[in-house]
Amino acid sequence: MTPPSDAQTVVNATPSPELLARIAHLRIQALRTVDGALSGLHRSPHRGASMTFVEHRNYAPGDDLRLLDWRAYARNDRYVIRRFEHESQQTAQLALDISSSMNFGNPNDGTRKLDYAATLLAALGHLLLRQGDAVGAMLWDNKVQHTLPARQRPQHFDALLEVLGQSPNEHGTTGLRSAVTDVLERTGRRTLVVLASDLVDFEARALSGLATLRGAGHEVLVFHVLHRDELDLRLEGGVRVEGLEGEPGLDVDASAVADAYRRQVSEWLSRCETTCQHSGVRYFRAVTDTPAEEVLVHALADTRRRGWA
Amino acid sequence: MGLGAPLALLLLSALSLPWLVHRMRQRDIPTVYLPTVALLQRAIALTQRRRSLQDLLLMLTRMALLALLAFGLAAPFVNRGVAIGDGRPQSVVLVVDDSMSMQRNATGVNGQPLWQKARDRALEIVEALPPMSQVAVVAAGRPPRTLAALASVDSSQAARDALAQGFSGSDRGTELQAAIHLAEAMLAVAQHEQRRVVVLSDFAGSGSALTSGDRTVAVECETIEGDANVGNVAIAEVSARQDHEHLGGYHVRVEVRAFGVTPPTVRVRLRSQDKTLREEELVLNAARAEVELSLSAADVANQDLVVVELLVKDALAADNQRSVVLRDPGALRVLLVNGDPRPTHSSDELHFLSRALPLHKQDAVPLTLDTVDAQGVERVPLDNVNLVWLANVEAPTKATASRLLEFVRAGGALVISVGDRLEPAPFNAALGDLLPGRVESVETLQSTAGVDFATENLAPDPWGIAVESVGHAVTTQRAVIAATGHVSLQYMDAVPALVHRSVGRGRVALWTTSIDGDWTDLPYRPGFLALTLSLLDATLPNKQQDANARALEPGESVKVAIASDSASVVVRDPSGTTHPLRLEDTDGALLMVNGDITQHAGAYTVEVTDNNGVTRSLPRAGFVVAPPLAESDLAASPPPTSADADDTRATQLAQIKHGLDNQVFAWALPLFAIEALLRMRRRRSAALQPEP
Repeated sequence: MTPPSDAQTVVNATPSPELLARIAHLRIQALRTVDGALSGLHRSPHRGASMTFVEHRNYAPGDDLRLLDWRAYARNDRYVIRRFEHESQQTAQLALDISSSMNFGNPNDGTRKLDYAATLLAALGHLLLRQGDAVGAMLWDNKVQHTLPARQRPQHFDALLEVLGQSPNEHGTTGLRSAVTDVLERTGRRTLVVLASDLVDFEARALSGLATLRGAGHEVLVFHVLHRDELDLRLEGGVRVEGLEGEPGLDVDASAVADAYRRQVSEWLSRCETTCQHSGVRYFRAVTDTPAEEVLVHALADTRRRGWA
Repeated sequence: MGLGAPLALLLLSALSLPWLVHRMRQRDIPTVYLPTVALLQRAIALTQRRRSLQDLLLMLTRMALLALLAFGLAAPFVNRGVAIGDGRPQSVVLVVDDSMSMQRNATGVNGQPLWQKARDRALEIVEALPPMSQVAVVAAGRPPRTLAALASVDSSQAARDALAQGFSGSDRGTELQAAIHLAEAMLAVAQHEQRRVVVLSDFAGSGSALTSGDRTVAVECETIEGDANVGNVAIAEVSARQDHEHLGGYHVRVEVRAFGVTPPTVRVRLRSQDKTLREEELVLNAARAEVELSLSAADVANQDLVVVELLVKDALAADNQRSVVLRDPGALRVLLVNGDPRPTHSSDELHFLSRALPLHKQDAVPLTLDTVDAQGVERVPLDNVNLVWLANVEAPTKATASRLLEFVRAGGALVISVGDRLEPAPFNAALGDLLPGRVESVETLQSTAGVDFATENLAPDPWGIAVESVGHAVTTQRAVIAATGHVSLQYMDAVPALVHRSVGRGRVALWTTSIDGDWTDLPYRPGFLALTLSLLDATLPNKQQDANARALEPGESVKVAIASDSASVVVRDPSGTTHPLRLEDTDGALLMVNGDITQHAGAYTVEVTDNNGVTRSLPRAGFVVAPPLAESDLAASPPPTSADADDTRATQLAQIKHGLDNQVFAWALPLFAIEALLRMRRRRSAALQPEP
């Protein structure tokens, strides 16, 4: 089992250039049009000062003559209407779980859950900044520990990386419900909230905070970050198993309980996914031995497939 | 208890191996971290519970096995004190008292009965005997009985079984000396030089020294101590006699004696079944009290016995109750069939016989006389009748004749006296198989002077009938018979007057004239009484059959009279248990009830089933067993000593080592089986775990 990292306390959150190149062509678009003072790539039902040309179409009686492209008429002797798309700016909050359980995995091969989650969020932040969205960040365990206000400037990416790369809370326990409540209080109008967490909170109503967040009008996206060793319990013989958030240790014959453990994990993952789906929260499972770009591609492709892009 | 090889117990230290291995493995096992340890805990809770129990049982079984092996290898033994002898093989007869006094409790509130203590002590001695010894068991209650013959203590369980299953308390008297003699007789063929008789008794009432007739046999006495602080009150004597002033009533006399510290008064109660008839408080004077209680005919209607009880808490309960039969002990019952009842019976057969027969006093056996008419004899049961006298009865029916024939064959007595109702032909036809002669005719003598008896020229009577005492009498009418039996008395003209014969086990006598004043004046002559009583004695060879009316001692054998048509006979003891009797053990019409059946005090009844399958009780065959009074005196006697003090001195206790390793290893076998079973189950459950 990969031990938690004690040596490396600073998160390696800088996405690799390869990752950034591969996801450069992807555009993240929100599920819904969101309100915003600034226009961007996202469609908006409102008219604004900033308008982007989309296409020409033939004039039809009744069209607003103000939209007639006189220059085109001059060149082609045809009446065409210029079509514009209203653009708005989206605000995104990247919420990274920095509880002790996220410190699981090998930091040297990039399978530590915290590194992996930070990379995912950084890449996403980069995309959002590139398309003109305002991006902020929150680090939380059982409450929000650090915040970075949302900014639209491309230079904000450095600040984002600096926050995401902060040290994890070594004694922090995952308190998903209280943390989400805290995030909700610190999040303004309709916002894209992206949580990257291992969801290691087995309290009965731990995931109910996500529904509250969704109910407040926010778009919520959850990356459930898992390590392969957590899924398969690749252990043999007698071992002493200790938790990362203060749970009492267990002496166990790993071979004997492996199957039952896998069934428990499977049930837990199903429960998390079902709860998210019922709450309207998009849920993506991210195992740290899977390249982060695949997870991102999958997440964005899923968004597009659902017709939100 | 000790160990032959105590160093082997070091193996017990191996018991800590599982724990040590567990600790070492715990120290060496790697520690891993898992964020989802809570899920692992749930998985363990679901899967490991049964397996943990199996593992725990397996570990405990293995530890027990290891402990047993270590203990067995340490050669454990116990030091057994040899209660008798010096540890060498010997031959021992245990004389264990099972008399009534051994029913009292030992010292202490919850003390067990003494006979149980004696039994336990005897078993202890048997177990402590050195290997190769011989042991036998004799019960010392009267009469002494061999419960287990002399046999090797190693190869035979007879003594242990006899003590554990065949020995219990009884109401018997004690016969220690006879029991010791019986034991010595058994030891005469013993194979060991050391021969001992161990007497286990409370020695109550046996103050005399016990002696050994064989100097090679040592007699050792162990006193089984009873609670000396509890006194005893006992019914010493109970008797019942008819109340001549009130027809059908009885007087019951009760004598009570007290031993030791007893209350000043005691209540006595008479009951019949569950109905209390009389109850009275008696004052003990000089440890004695006596009372006579009267019972009316209504009290004892249809009852054959009453129970006398002392309402007192004392050392022995067995002697606080006694049954008494409501009939004169030893009475003979004569059934007079009066074929000629007259309006004034001052001159008929009943008149003369009812005055003559009660004078029968021989052997102090009283007599009861019942009378029926000729038709009544068909209905009267003859089971309890000793003698039937047919007086001037016309020819009986075929059924009655058949019953009479069976009655005589079974040992009953039949006397026939004729009269004016005699008709020779039908009489011969009906009773031909019984009669000692054929009736030819009825003759009326022409001479008014009649004919006298003559005793000259007659052979001596084999039954001893005192015909010489008849004297002179004038007979004017008589039956003339062709005698086939023995002629005891004849008339002067040589015509038989009294003829008799034996039929089966019974006897029949034929008197050829009447016993009233119609045909002869004999009833008015002094010789009539002598002849009648002599005839009674001569025809009743089995008159002792009713001797059962007296109380018997526990364990005493007794003969009971049974009906001739009995197909099976059982004796019901006071507890209600039935004991079948063997019909082949009959002595005449009497059946032997041996002492094993009569060992408890109380009333015993006899029930017969006839050839038709009908079961009935025989009231006069029942009997009462009374506890022996000597057993009621519980005064502690010093342990009797033999005439030869050297023989009875208790031998210094020797200690022998009795190895326990075989037993220990025997225990290991089932543990091995359990361990294998657990291991198999564990393996199977592991195999059933699905592959990940």
